[in-house]
Amino acid sequence: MTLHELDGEALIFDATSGDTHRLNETAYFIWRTCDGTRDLTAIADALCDAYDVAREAAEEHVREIVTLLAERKLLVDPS
Amino acid sequence: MPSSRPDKTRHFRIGVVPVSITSAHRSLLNQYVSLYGHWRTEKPADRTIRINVSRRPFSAIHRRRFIVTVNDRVRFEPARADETLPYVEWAVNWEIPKVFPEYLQLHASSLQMDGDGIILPGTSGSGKSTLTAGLLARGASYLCDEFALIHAGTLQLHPFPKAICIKKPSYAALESVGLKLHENQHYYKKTKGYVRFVNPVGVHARWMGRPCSIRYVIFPRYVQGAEPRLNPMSRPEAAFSLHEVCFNLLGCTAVGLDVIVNMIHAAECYQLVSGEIRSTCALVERLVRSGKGTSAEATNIRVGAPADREPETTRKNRALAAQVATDDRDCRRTVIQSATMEES
Repeated sequence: MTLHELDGEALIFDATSGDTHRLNETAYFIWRTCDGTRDLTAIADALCDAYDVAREAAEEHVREIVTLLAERKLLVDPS
Repeated sequence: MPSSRPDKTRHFRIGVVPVSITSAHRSLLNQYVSLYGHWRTEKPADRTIRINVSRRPFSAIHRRRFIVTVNDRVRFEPARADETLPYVEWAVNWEIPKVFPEYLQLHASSLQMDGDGIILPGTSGSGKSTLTAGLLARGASYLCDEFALIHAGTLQLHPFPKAICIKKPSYAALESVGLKLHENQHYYKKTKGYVRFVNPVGVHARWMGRPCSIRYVIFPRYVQGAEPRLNPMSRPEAAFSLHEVCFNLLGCTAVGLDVIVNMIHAAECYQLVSGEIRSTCALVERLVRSGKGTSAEATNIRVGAPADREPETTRKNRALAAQVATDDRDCRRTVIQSATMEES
């Protein structure tokens, strides 16, 4: 996979599948924060620290984005 | 069985693209020479794209009357004589990424104004050919009406100054800017209906562009009767959209996305709502001039709010939006878009 950061967003190209993904700023933030050590609550905490977002909304965003990222095979199970 | 008449071959080098066309179909050769005579060469150039057009003998079974091969592979079998030349053009276009993998090929018109490269990406019907012809008529230098050929190593835009294909509804607009349609010859394209060509050669003294860097990426969308306007576009959105109109994302010598991202770092990106041709061309010219030290206010550019951003006051805690875009080619493109939030 190749990652390009462009004006705060990310373009990710998967050479094996030919798929390309564009992550907007906050989706990119969530993706970067998925470092294999944090759970969804910790990622939502980080989102709340970095952005002006209500706690409940942050958790919902994180859950949905992580699901999407996993569906697109942009996250791997660390175990 | 193909015709037994002797074949004739003509060689051309149209900008960076060499083409050799062989056919016993004399009128087709004449039409091609009429459009591309400026580019004729005595001998085939290295890596020439070899086109052969043969005619099937009359048959009650076969509706297809012609066979168009490219580098010995059958590519098209047009039924009508007036379809043949557009299919020849199409065949050349399709072969470029295979023969010249060092170029990233985007579906975009390309021009040069005041030394700056401009690409107008868009699918058929977006109005890019008409706008390109209009800008050429007003003094821009022409590179291509169908493709942006970007060299993967230098990121420079290169010329493939093919004849400009104009759809019937745009004939009048072209004539209104003083461009002559080439001869009185109509052709038929399955996707576009009746078309004619504009031969760009010699439209003005500096009609042909030279290799140049891309300064402007402008996505046109023709809306009949609309007042032309330019909306700034974010570079990530533009890069992603360019990626969708790339013909050789995987076949280019470099990773296509790398080329696009590296190129777009130095470019300004816009969406253009185009309307009446003269005022639309004038708007693009003012944009380019504004980049040469004249302020946008002074040149009266009508610039809308950034298309992908909401005003600051509304950029808060919006519901999550996920949009998935797919296309019908091998590659899949997705946009993963979280809510727009304000940084603390």
